[in-house]
Amino acid sequence: MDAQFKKGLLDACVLSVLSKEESYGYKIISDLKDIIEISESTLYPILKRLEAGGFLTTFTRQYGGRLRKYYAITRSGRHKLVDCEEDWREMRGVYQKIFEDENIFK
Amino acid sequence: MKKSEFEARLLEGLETLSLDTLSDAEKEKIIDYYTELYLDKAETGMSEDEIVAEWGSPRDAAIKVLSDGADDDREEAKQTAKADKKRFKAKSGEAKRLAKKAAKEAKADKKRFKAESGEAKRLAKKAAKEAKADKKRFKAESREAKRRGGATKEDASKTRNEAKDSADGGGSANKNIKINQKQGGKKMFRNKTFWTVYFSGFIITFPLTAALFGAAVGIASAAIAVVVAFLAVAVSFILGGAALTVFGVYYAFISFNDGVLAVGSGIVLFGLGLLFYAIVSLPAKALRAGKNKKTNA
Repeated sequence: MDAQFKKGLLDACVLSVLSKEESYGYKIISDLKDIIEISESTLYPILKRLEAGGFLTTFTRQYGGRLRKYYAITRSGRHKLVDCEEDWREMRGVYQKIFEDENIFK
Repeated sequence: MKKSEFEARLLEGLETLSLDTLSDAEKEKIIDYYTELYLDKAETGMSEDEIVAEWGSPRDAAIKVLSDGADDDREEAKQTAKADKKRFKAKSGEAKRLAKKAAKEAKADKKRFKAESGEAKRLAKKAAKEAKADKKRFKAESREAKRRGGATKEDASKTRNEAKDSADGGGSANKNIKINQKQGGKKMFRNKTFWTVYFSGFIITFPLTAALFGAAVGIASAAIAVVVAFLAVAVSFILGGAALTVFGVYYAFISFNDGVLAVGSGIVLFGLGLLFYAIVSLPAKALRAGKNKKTNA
């Protein structure tokens, strides 16, 4: 998949995971592994960018004698998810037209 | 590879790729992120080597961490890094060229500034010289004005006293007169034009004034001489006439006709003497009478 195209998709994927419940790094990767190819190194900048944009927030919680960092979606993050859904519908419509309709450019 | 080695090489890669612009706090965050992932995976039963192997090479990890978050191919990441390096070289070349240009312009500005400040210094010196000369001139003028102001102080005080005498007792009116006179006098005496006109007028009119004065003195002297002469004549005629009258009366016993003639001449002379006296004393009497009238009024 194209890197730039994938970048937008990954944002939506991460926000979608967090919209269900708070999560942590390893779990996010585990949840997305079956949907899209994503590595630990790739996830870090996505989380950083979404946090900088105010779409998610972080906090730590005690877990097994250590502090684990958790991520939670914000209201802005939910709005962004809605925007991503609309973008996806629009894109799907375009892709359908250009790839499924053979007569479109005739 | 062990986790610590991975972390060390990861940090190296981050420093190199970010051109050492990454802060220590950011580097720590990244290391903490990997540490957490490591601990979470270790709980699932994976070994250290397995976990680190899943992370890939530290350099690729560094590239991905510093990227926008796309899961690029290794090759693509290399290409991007190369392109970035090229772009950076070009930019730094451009930056060097701009820096050189700026340095040149700064040199030129420095030269221009030196020249302008030299000119400014020269103008400032000139202005300072002129100011000194003005100060000297002002001091001389003020000394001259003070001298003139001192000479007219007496006149000013006379005027002040006259004003005091003529006043009806109102202190403030006198004060105002004094102030106005002083101020007017000072203003007048500071006026160069006034003195020039005054002295010119004096020099021009002096001969005429002298002549008039001389004439007045001469006339007065002549008048006095006439009066004195008349008085002398009057006195001599009165005395002479009286003496002749007495002699005539005595001589009438010797020669009646000659005696009568002498008495007559004596009376005439006496009368003339009184006439002369009257001529001289009448104007004075009239003046005295006029003065008395004025004082009585």
